[in-house]
Amino acid sequence: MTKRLVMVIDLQACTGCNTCSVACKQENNLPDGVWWTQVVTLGDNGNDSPAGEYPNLFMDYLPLGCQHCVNAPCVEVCPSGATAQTEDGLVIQDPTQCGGCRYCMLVCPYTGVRVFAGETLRYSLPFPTGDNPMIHRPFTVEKCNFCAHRLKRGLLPACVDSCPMVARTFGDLGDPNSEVSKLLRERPHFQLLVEKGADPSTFYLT
Amino acid sequence: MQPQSPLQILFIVRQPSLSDSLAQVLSGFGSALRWTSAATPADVAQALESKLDLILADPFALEQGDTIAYYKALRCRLGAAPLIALLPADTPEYRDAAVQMGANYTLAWSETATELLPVMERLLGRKRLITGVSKYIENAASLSAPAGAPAFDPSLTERSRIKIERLAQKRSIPENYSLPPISQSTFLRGLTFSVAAPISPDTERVVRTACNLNCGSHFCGLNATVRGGEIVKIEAADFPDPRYRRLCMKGISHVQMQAHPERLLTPLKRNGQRGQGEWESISWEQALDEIAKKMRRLRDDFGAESLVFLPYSGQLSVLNGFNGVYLRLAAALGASGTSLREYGIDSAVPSGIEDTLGAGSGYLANDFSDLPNSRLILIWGGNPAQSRMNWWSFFMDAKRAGARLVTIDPRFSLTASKSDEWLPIRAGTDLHLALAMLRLIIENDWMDREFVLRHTVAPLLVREDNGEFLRLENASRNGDQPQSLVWDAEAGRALPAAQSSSPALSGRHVVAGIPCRTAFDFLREMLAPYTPEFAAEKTGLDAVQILQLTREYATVKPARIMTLYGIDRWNHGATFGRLIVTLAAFTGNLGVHGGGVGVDGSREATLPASDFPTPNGKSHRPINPLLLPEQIISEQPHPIKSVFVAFGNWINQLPDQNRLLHEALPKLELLVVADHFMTETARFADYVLPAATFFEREDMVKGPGPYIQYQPAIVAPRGECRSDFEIAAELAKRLGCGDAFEKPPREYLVEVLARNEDTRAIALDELIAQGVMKRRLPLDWEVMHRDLHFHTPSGRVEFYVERLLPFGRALPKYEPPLEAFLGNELSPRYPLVCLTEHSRYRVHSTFSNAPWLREIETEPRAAVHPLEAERRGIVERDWVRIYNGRGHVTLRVHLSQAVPPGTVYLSQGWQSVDFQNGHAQSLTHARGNAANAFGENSSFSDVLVEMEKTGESLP
Repeated sequence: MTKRLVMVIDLQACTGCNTCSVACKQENNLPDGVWWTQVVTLGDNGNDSPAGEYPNLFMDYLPLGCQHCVNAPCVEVCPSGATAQTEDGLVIQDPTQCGGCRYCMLVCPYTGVRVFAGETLRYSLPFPTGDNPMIHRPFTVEKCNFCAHRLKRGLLPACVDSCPMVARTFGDLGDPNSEVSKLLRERPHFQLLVEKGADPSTFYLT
Repeated sequence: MQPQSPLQILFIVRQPSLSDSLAQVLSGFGSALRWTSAATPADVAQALESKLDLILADPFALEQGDTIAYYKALRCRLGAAPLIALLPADTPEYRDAAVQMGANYTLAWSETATELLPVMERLLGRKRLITGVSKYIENAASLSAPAGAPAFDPSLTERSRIKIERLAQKRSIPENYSLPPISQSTFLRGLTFSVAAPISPDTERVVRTACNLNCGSHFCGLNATVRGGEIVKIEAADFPDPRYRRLCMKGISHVQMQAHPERLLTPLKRNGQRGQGEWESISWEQALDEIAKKMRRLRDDFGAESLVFLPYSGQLSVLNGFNGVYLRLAAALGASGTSLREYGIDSAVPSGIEDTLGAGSGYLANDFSDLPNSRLILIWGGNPAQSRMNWWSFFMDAKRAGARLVTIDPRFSLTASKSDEWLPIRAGTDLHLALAMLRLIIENDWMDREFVLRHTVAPLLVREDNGEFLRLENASRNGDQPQSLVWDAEAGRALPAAQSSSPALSGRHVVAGIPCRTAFDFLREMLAPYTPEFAAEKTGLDAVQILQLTREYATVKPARIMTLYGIDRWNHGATFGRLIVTLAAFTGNLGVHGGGVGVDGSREATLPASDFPTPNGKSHRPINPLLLPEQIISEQPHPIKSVFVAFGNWINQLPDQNRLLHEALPKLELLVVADHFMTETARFADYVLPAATFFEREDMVKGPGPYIQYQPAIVAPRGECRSDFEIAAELAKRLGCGDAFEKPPREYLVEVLARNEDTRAIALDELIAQGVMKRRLPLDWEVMHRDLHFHTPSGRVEFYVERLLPFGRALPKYEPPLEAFLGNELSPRYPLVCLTEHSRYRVHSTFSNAPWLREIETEPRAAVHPLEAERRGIVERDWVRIYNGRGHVTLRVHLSQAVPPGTVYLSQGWQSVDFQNGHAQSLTHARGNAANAFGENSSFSDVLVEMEKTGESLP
C-alpha cells in the first residue's frame, strides 16, 4: 500500500489541556494570536463548559488542526503552489509562496484550522522558539504542516511528542504494522465531516 | 440515553443467519430501533433516501466491482452516521481493508452477539460529538483570524472557481521547502551537559533538567534547547519508565517565563509609600547591606524571633526551595520561619489522616502508579484530571484495566466528565455522605471483620468516665507501650489487645469498677442518625444512589478513595479525612495494592528528609502562615517586625487579604521579597530581590515517583539575578552567621543524598552525569502501610482519637461548616457559597503572566449557574461584583451549567492586576480549626458571598 501519514487522536484520553497547542506554538514560533492546533470543547458556552442541564451534563474535547485531506480542496484551488501535497500525504502550506488570496480558507471544509496572519505579527519573545525554520509573513495563510521539518529528522510532530496523555499517535496507515493501523483496526473511530468527501487523514478514536 | 425518535439502521448482509442474529441482538431495544435490510446496491440507494443512523455492512454481501471505492462513496453519503463492517473472519488484512473502506469499526461475525451493542453505543454516542463539530465549524471563522484581519470577500468564491480551471497540477512539494542542516548537538537529546564546560552563547545544545513547581504533578523532566544563550525550546525528557516521560503546557511556557520582559533584573528599593509602585534600582551590595542593617537593628530591639523568613512552596528544589536556604538562614539566626508541620493551607484532611493512620501518614497514600491495580476509584472532592494533570494518565491506565471511576463533586468537573459516574453532592455536605456510608457498611455487615478487629481500635475498651482507652493498671499513658485492653469473648475478661485471641467487637463491661464500652459501640451509636435518607436530604443525592455507592465501595475490591484539597478548604476537612480512612479500614482496603485512601497519590514525601534547614541541629521558630497576620497585629506571643518572602506570593495565597494588607503590613518595619516577577506581594515590599530561576542555578528535586533528578545551571542568570542560595549566604555573612553557608551548594546536595536511605547509594557525580536516577525503594514501595503497622499510639487505625478528647472530638462526629451551611444567619445577605478551584493553566499565581497561556485562559471569571445569573439580571461576560462583609472582587461572569445553583466558583491565583477591582482573596477568612493535628488551616471554600451586576460605567 502507498504511504499515507495520518494522525490518530484518542478522545477518551484527551483532557483538553492544550499542551499540544502550546507545544505547536513553541515548535513553530507562532506569532501572538496564531494557533495551528487548538482543543475545542464540544459542550456549550466556551472552553471547559459542558452541554446539558445540571446535573445531566456531558463534555468532550476535540483537538482540531489541519486534517491533511487526501482529496484536499485547498491544494486544488491554490493559485501559487503554496499549498501542496506530498507523496506521503502531508498537505503543506508554504508562506513564502502564499499570495494571501485565502481561496484555501474558503474551500476548506474545516473552517478554523487555517489562520490568516494579519498585518503585524507580534511575538512575546525577542528570539524565535522551536526548530521550524519557517519565517512567518504578514498577509499569508498558515496552518499545521504535521511538523514536516521534524518528520525529516525522524521526529514526531510536536503535538504528538508532547501530549501528556499520549492521546495522539502518528504514523503510516499504509504500513499494516504501524501503531496507527493497529489502532484503527482495533478501536471504533471516525473522521470529521466525511460527507464533504475530502477523506481527511486525521482520525478520532471514540 | 433514550433517543427521541427510533434509530434507523440499515443491514447490508446476504447470509440469513447473520441477518437473524443481528435482528436478535437488536430486538432488545424494542421500539427504539428500526431496521431494514439491503441485498443489492439498488436497495442501498433506496435506503439512503431516508435518514439513517447506522449501517451494519458485510462488505462481501453486495455484487459490485470495486468494493473499497463503493463503500468510500457510501461512507461520504452517510455523514455522521457510523458504518460498522461485519467480517466473515477476523484477520488484520480484512480489518485494514475495512478501515480503507471508511468503516468506523470492524466486527467479526462471531463477535456480533457480544460486541455489537457496546460498540453501537459508543459510536452513536459520538454522533453528538460529530454534530457538535459541525456546529463549531460554522462559528469558527471568527476565531481563526487574529483581531484586525480583513473579513472574507464573498467574491473570492467565484474567482477561485475560475482559477481552478486554469490551475496546473500543483501536487508536488515546492522545491524550496527544504531545511537548513541541523547541528549535531540537537540530536544529543537526553544526554547531559557537563557543567564544567563553559557556557558559550553560540553553540546550540540540549540540556536535561527538571521542573520544580508545586503543580501537584511534580516533577516533570525537561529537555531544554539552548541557542544563542536563550532557552528556545522545552520538551519532555526521557525516564527509564516511559510512563514518567511527560510535560505540560505550563512546562513549555517556561520558555516564555525565562526570557519574559517583566523579569526582575536588579534589586529594587521602594520610593514613596508601600504599594505605590515607585522603585529605585540599587546594587546588590546596597540592598544586602541595608536589609542586613535593618534586620540587625530589629534583632537588637525585638529579638531574633521578630524576624520571619517565609519561604513557601512556589519552588520545591532541595536547597533553593521551601525547606531550603531561607529556613537554614532563619535557624542560624534564631529567627522565625514557615513551619514545616503547620502550613496553614492543605493541612486539614492530612491532619485527620495523620490522627487516624499515624505519624507520617497525613500526606501520603498509595502511589499514583498503583492506580491501575484498583477496581474502583472514588475521587472525592478533587479534580485530578485538571489539578494533577500529569498523573491523570495513571487513572486512564486504571480505566483501561477495567477500574470504574466515580467522582463526588458539586461541580461537573473535567474529572467528572471523564468518570464512569458522577455524584453531584451539595457543597459542604461531604461529612453527611461519609457518615451514611460508614453506617451502611456497619449495619449491613459489609465490614472486613478480621481487619476491623485486628487493625483498628474497634475492639478497644473505652472508659465511660473519661473517654480514654482502658489500659493495664499502673501503665502510664506516656510510658513504654501502654497496653490497651479488649474484652476477650472466650476468656470472659479484659485482656491486653495483643494477648486476646477473640476480642469482642461490641459490648459493655465493668472492668476493675470502671464501666467501659468498645470503641466500635461508641462509633456505631454516633452513626445511628445518619441514615441514607437523612444523608440524601442533606447532600441532595438520592438515597438509593448512596446505598449503591456504598455497596459497590464495600464489595468491589480493591477500591481506593482519593481526595485532593477540595474538602480540605472547609472547617471540617480533618473530620472528613478521618471518616474516609475509617471507610477504607472497615472495608479492609488498607495496605493493599489498588486500595488505600489519602489525599493525593504520593507514597513518598515531595521533599527528601534534610538536615539542611537545621544547621548544627538548630531549628528556626516555626510559624503557621495562616496565623502570622494575627500574630503581627497582636504582637503575641512576641512582636514580629520583619518578613522575608520567598518562593511564594503571600498576599495572593493567604486568606483575608484586607486584614493582612491594612492591619498587619503597616506594623512591619521591613518586608523583603525575592522573586522573578513583581508579584502582588513584591509590590508591597520595601526591597525586591531578583532571584534566579531553576534554569539558572544548580539543585535537585525528588521525584516523580521513584526518581531523583538533577537540575543543572543551564543558562547564566538574567540581568543581575542571583540564586536564592547566594542571596541567603550573602545575608548570613552580613548577619554574623556566614559559616552556615560556607560550603558550595554541591556539598549540601551530597549531604542530603546521604541523609536519606533511598539515595544514600547515589553519588552526586553520577546523578549529574545521568540527570535522572532511580532511588532505592523497597519492593511494594507503592503501597502505603504495606506491613499494616500504624504509627498511632495504639498501633491500630484510630477512628477514636484520644488526642482530640479535650476538643470533644474523639469520635469523628459531624461538624458543621463555619460559614457556608444552610440556615446560617448570614445566608439571606450572602446566599452563595464561594468555592475556589485551581486552574490548569497556572500554578497558583505562577504563569498568570505567561502570554501563550493567557491566550487560552484570558482572564479571571466567576462561574455561576445561569439561574443565579438570571435572578440578578446578569448575562454572560457581564462585570460582576462579588462581595461579603470582608471584601469584594469585580470580574467577568461566566454562565455555566457545570456549577450548581447556590454557588460561585472562582479560580485561585489571579493577581490584583488581573481583576477589574478588589481581590478574590479579600472574600476569604483566616478562621482555622484549632483541633487539627497540623494546626489551623485556611477554609477557603467555607465562605458565603453575594453577587451583583456592577454599574454600566465599567469598560
